[in-house]
Order: sequence, then structure tokens, then C-alpha cells
Amino acid sequence: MRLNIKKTDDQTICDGIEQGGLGRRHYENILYEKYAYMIKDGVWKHKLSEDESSIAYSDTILSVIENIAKRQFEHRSVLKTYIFQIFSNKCVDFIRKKTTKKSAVYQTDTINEYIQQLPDDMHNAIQQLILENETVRIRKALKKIGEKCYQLVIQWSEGYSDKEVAEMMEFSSAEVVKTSRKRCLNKVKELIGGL
Amino acid sequence: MEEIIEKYFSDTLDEKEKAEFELQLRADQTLAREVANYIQLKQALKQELLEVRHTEWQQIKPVKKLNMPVVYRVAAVMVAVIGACWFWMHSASPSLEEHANLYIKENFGQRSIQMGAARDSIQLAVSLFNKGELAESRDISEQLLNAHPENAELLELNGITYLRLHEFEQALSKFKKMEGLDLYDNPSVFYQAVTLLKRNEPLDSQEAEKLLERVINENLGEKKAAKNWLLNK
Repeated sequence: MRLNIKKTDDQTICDGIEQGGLGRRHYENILYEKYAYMIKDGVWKHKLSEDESSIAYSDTILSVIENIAKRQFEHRSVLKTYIFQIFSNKCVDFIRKKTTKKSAVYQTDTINEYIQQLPDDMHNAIQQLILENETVRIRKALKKIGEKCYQLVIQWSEGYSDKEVAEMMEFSSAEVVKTSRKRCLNKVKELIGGL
Repeated sequence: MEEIIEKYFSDTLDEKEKAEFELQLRADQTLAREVANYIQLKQALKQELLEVRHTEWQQIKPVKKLNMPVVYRVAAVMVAVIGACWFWMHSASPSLEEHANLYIKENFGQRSIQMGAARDSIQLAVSLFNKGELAESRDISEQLLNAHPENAELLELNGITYLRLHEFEQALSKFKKMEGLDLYDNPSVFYQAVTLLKRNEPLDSQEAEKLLERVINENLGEKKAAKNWLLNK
């Protein structure tokens, strides 16, 4: 399992990410490097700056990793085409967000992704409960909960199972990870004055 | 409540539980509030994760600005250099030992650092390796192998570290263990050949040749390099 980007085929990368655990990060980095040439496309085709295009590309790779890890990438198209389609959409979204909301650099579409999973008649109700600047406050609180808590919740957000986190962060069991994570999220709630 | 919300969005509730959850969501303002909080937390974490991973990836592969006229000039020079190299290489082919030395220099000098898990012990071993603190890196990866004896990445790192320390027996032992793992594109037999060529004791060269032939015949990792070395020795 050498980090030889050119020779590692897509199936190996997907298998490595799906397997999870300690090796997953290795394949994530290979995936990132293998298609990083698309960043230039973001610059030339969508007129983004190189920094903006590289953020859109990083966001793309994270989405692809999430889909592969959840086994939602069904191999209907080749991985390159799949990544390119997502990346193109992210570039378009990036331009749209730039013109409507000039603040945050690392914008993501997570709210819409989750709301779409709810029944249609609940979309508006939940949307109204989501406060505009809450994300900023939560991110500030995340930076104050300590390094171990931070790593714990970040890895939870990446989709690692409690068992995998226990192995990577040397906790004694998945149960301990779960309890610790709850404690860390409570810390976030306290810091933002009750979420 | 957080647990059921998590299960809902990870689609692990059965149909009955999902329907009950959605029914409750419509009627219970507290649950609706908790769902909104959960979504906002996920949004914040996703943005945080993007920032963290993007920063890590920039350290592996920073975006470089290209100056196109310079690119064309460089390309022209490279074509000329490659042409000259082709004539030079075909007039004086390196020995297997020289191939091995060059391979070690080009491929076993630095390992990739995954900055996101900076506290992870394996990353510490890699970091020490890259700083040239090979003995310390070897000790850490040996300890980790006690807990994870079949971790291919650890076996590879550990074997390469022993090779660079010229502890050839240990290197061969690690690569042999790696050979026994069910890996796609397993380079361990090739690495054993490289180790023997570097050790260069009597009969090592012949043994290495046999291993390179195995790499080719069994379609193992680094087959192209093995073919190239045997063709041009």
C-alpha cells in the first residue's frame, strides 16, 4: 500500500476508504492528490481564484469520501466523472454564494442536505428554527472545548464509527467514545448558552 | 433524544420507527427544536472539517500558480533533456544494485504525513522518519506493530526504516510478513529484492533476480519497475 498516486486505481481507493480504520486517511489523501488537477478547471472554466477553486475541490473530495464510506457511490459512472460532476456543481454554488453572502469562506450545503431528508411539510418549520448566525457561534465554541474533544467530534462528523474512533484515538472502548462525545457536545451547548 | 435523531438521519430506523419519529416531529416542538439544533451542529462541524482537511491537503499539495509561457519553455527543455537521457541510458545500463540504490533514494526518503490525526502514534512514527530520526521511528512503529501485527502500512514503514538503518534481516522479515497479507498490488516481494540488492552479500543478487521474476510472473506490485530493471541490467 505505497502512496503511489498514479498507480493506485479507483477501486483500490474506494476499497481503502470503505474499510475505514487507520488506513482510511491514507486513501483519502491519495484520492485528493489523484484528481487535484481539476482545481485548474475551476479557475479556467468557472473563473474562481485558485484558493476558491481549491476549497471547492476539498469540499468535493469530502463529499465523495462521505458517499464512498457510506457505500452510496454505486459505480454507475467512473470515479473521475463522479468527482468532476460534484466539483462543477460546487464551483457554481461557490459563485452563487459569493454574490449573495460575502462572509464565510468555508460554506457548505449541509443544512439543505439534512432538511431534504425530512418530510416535505416539515421543511419550512425546521428551516425557521435554524438561526442565521448559530453556525458561527458553534464553530467558535468548538475551538474552546479542548483538543481531544475537538478531534472526537470532528471524527464523528467524518462518519467514523465509535469503534474506529476508539482505535484511532486509543480509547478503551466504543462505549467510552460515545459517552465522551456526549460530554463534549454538552460542553459546546454550555458555551453557546444552551443551544 | 439525540440518539434517535442521529439514527433518523443515518437512515438506520426501520420504517415503523421512522414513521413514528416523523409523526412526533410534527407534534412536538421540543423535538423539532432538537432536530434544528442537530442540523446546525452538523453544518458547523462540516465547515470546521472542511477548513481542517483543506489546510492539511494544502500542505501535501499546495496550489501552484502556472505561468503558461514559462510552462511551454520548460516543456521544450524537458523534451530535449529526455531525448538526451534516452541516448545516455541506452549506451550505459545501470546494474541491479544501482537500480536499487536509486529506488531507495527516490521512494524511501519521505513518507506522507497526515496532519489531521497529529496525535496518532503512527503519524509520530512517520514524522520522526521524515526528520531522519530513524531509530526513534523504528522503535515507535515496532511498539505499534505489537498491537497491530497485520497493519500493512505499519509493516511497510517499519520495514523501510530497518532498510534505511541497514538492518537488512529485520527489513526482510517485515516485508515477508507483509507478503502474507491479502493486499491489492502488494509491493512486498519487490521490496525484498531491493533489500537483498542493497545488502549485496554473496548470492544476494541472484536471489533478488529470482524475486523480480516472481513479481513479473505473479503480477505483483512494482511489476513495471521489476521488468525495467531486468531488461536494462
